[in-house]
Amino acid sequence: MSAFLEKFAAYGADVDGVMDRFMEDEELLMVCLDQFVADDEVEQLKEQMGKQDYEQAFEVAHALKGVSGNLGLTPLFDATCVLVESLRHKVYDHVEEELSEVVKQREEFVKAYEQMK
Amino acid sequence: MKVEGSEINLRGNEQDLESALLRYVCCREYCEIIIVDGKTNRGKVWLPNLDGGSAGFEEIEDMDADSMEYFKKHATPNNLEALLEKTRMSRIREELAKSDSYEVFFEEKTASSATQYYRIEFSYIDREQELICVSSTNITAHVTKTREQQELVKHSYELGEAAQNAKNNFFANMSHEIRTPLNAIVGMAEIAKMDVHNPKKIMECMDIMLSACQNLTNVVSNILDTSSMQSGSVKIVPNPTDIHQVLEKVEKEFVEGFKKPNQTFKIEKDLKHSKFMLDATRAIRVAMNLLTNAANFTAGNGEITLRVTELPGKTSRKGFLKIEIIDNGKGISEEDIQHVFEPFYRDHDTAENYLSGTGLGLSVVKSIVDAKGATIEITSKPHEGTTVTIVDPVEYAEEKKKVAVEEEDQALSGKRVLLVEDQPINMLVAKRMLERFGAQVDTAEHGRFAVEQFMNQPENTYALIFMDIQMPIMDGYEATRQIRSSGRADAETVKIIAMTANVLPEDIESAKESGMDAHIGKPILTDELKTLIVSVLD
Repeated sequence: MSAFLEKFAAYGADVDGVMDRFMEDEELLMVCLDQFVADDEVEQLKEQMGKQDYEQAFEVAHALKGVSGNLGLTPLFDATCVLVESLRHKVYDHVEEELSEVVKQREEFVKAYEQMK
Repeated sequence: MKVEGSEINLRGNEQDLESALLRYVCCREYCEIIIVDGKTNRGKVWLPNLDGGSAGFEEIEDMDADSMEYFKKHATPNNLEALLEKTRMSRIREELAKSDSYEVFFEEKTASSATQYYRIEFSYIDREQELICVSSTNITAHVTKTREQQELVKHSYELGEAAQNAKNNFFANMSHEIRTPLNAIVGMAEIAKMDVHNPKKIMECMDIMLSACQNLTNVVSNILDTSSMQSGSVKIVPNPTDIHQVLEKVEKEFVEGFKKPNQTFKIEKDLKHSKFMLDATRAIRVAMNLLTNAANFTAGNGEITLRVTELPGKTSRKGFLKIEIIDNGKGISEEDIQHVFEPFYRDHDTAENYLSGTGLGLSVVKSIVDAKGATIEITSKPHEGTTVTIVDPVEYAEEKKKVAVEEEDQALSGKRVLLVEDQPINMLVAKRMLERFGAQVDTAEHGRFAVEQFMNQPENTYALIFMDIQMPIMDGYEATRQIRSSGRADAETVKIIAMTANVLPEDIESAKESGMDAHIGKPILTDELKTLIVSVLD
C-alpha cells in the first residue's frame, strides 16, 4: 500500500472499496478527491439549511452522500447519511446538530487530505 | 439476580429472576421449573398461569418438605424411598459438587392408571451463590414416539414407501425441536414487552432471542435440506469462496449458539490456498451439524477441534480438503455407528435420556457429502471421543476467478450503454467501471438529456441504461417513464438499472414501479455491479 493510501486508511477511509471502484487507479482517485475538495457541496448545504429550504437541502445532502460514499470517505458519508434520513423523513428537530457534524467531518477530511498529499 | 447475605432475594425484582431463569433454560423443554437457594433450601416455582392468569413465581418454604409431599402424592410407591433420598437437598449438593448436573428419573401413576416417566435435572445457575435450577420433563411421550418413529421409518424403507412415511414422522418429530426455541423467543418477547423502557433488559432479551433463532434456523435448514434430499434435488453450487471467511462464520455461529460455556473449541488450519470452489452455505451446514453433535455429546468441560488440512491433488488446479471434527466426548458404540446416517436415527443413549436433537443432522451431512463426491468416515471409542473425517475433492478458485472475470468483461464487450448521472465525480467513477467491462459509454447529466439521447439514437442502440434517481431538471423515475412510454420498438425492452444512493426497500420498489429492471446502491462495488449486469442481460 502506498504512503498516500496508508494515510487515507488512517483517516478512516474505505480504501478497499474505493480502490475497487477506481480499479486501483490511485492517481484518478486523487484527481477526484481534489475535485471534491474544490466543489464544496457542504457550503451549498449550509446555505440551503440556513434558509430552511429543507427540500433543496435534501437534494444537496443526498448528492453529498453519494459522492462521499463513492470516494470512500466513510466518516463524512456516515454523518451525511444521518442528515439525509432526517431530511427525507422531514424530522427537523436535530438537523442543525447533524449539519454541524457533516461540516466538522468535511473539515477534518480536508485537513487530513492536505497532509496526505 | 440479586443475592443478599446467605439468602436469595426471592422477593426482589421478579423480572430479573425470571430473565435469569429463562435464559438458563431457554434451550430446554420442561414442564416445571424451580429455582432454589441451596443455602436455605427455599425456592420459587415458575408458574405460567397463576390465579390471576399471568405468569409468575410461587414461594416454596422448604424444598425437602415440598418434595416429600409432592412425591408421596404423585410418584409410584415402589421406589418412593429411593426417590426421596435422591432428591434431598443434601444429596443434590453432594452430586452437584461432583458434576455440572444431576438427574433423577421417576414414574407417576396418572388418574387413568397410565404410567408417565419424568426426568428431573438439577444444575447450578450460579455455583458460587448456590443457586440451583430444578427442571422436570415428561419423557414418556418422546421416548415412545422416537422409538415408534424409528421402527416405522425403518419398515417403510424396506417396503419402498420411505418418502411418504418419513414425511409424516418427520413432522411429528420436529414439533419438539421447533417448540423449544420458540418457547424461548415468546418468553423473552413477553419479558421485553413488560420492560420496554429498560434498554439493558431488552438487549439481554434480544440476545437470548437471537440465540434461540439460531437454533431454530439450524432446525429449519435441516428440514429443508431433508426435504431436498427426499426429492433427490440436493444441488451443490460451487463459487469462489474464501475458506478463512467460511471458518470464521462457522466459529462465530458455533461459539455464540451451540458450544457449552466451559467447552474448549479451537480451529486448526494447514492451508496453502485461500480460495476454493465451494458451496459456502452447504459447507457451513455440514460443519455446523457436525460441531453441534460434538457439543451435545461432549461433557461440559470437553474439547472440540475443527481441523482443516489441504492435501495435494494430481493437478495444480485441484486438491483435497480434509476436514476433521474431533471431540473427547462420550463416543458412539459400534452398533450405533452403522445407523447414524439414517434419517431420524438417534442412538440408544440419546433417545433414552432424551437429549435434544432432530436425528436429521448426520443424514443431511451424508447427503451433501455424497452430492459433492466427498467421503465421510466416523471413528469413535466409547468414553474417549469421536472423530468425523471428510475428504472433499476441491478446485482452487484463483484460476477459475480469472476466467469468470474475463467472461463477465465480455458481457459488455462491444455493447453501448447510457450512463445518466448529474454528479461529475460519480459519473467519472461509474464510467470507468463500465468501460472496464468493455462497454462504450454515452453520458447524460440529467433525465431530460437521457430521454433525448435515447430518442436520438437508432432503435436498440443501448444494451443498458444506468439511471441515477435524484437529478435536477428531470429525475430518474420520470425519465424512465418517458422512455418506457415513448412508443419505440425498444422502449419496453431496453434494460434500465437504477444506480442511486437511495437504498431503502421503498426506493427499490419505486424504481420498479417506474419501469426500471434492477437497482444498485451507491457506493457501487465492482463485483456487485458485474453480477447485476450479467443477470440483467441474461
